Amino acid sequence: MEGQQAQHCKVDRLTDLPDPVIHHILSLMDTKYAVQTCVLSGKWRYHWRGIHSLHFDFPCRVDPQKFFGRFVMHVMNHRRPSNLRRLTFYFLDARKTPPYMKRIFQYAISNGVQELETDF
Amino acid sequence: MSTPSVSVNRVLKLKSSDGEIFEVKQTVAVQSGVLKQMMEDGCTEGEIPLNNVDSPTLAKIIEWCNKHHDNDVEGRVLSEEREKEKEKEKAADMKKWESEFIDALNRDEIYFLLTGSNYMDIKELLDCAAQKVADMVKGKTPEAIREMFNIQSDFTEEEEEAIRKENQWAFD
Repeated sequence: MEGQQAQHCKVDRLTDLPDPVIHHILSLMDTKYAVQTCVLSGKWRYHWRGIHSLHFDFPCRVDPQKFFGRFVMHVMNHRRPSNLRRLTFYFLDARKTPPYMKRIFQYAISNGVQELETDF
Repeated sequence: MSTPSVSVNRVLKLKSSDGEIFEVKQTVAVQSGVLKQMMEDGCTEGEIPLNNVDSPTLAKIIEWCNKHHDNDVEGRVLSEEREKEKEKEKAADMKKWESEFIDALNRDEIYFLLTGSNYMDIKELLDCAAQKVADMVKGKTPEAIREMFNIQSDFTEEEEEAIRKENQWAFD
């Protein structure tokens, strides 16, 4: 069984998947993890930009300005334009960041968001 | 020519890439967007070749579709009887069945299921298999992901560092 398992692991099947399937997989996790796949290899560098759903979970320890200003804005500026199937957004205190909130909802609407989930 | 309607008793003959024939009820086959379209176009006579799906994968795909079909049929009966509690219980059972189905597969089998369900356009199965891979990837370091899926990095150390910096906030 171990030998069989080792055999399975020799081929990089994940990278061989069709692009839309890879984009779908990356759309099913927190966007932060999706972006992290950019360093896996050359083929993975820009895959995250094809995601069809965004999931932002506000990390408690991070400065809100940094989180919105760098993380969220960077994603919105670099994701390839396509219809947004789903946007989930969880954060602790939206009142401190109204300009960013406005920007996020504008982005969602201009990308034809189909499902929106937030704790606002 | 009128469009033939989906019949409970009629079956489709699906031919896998390695030449095996599988018989599937039309009412089950409609879960595949591709087969549904073929039925609507009236071109399902004879064997339907599925050149991108091998027989072990097609067997798994049919097992999935049969289970979902049976579940939907039973679900409709329950809805009519307004047995909401039982309906919830059934949905939970179905989720359990789905995770057991996916968890029993090795990485190669999941890969073939992903390509097969993508090719045949079976959305729920594609979602389930994709979620399994997403759960395997998320939260792991790039090194752990590379090792798990045998991904060879073609970046130099300097290139990787530059790409990390470009997306720095994702690694904080």
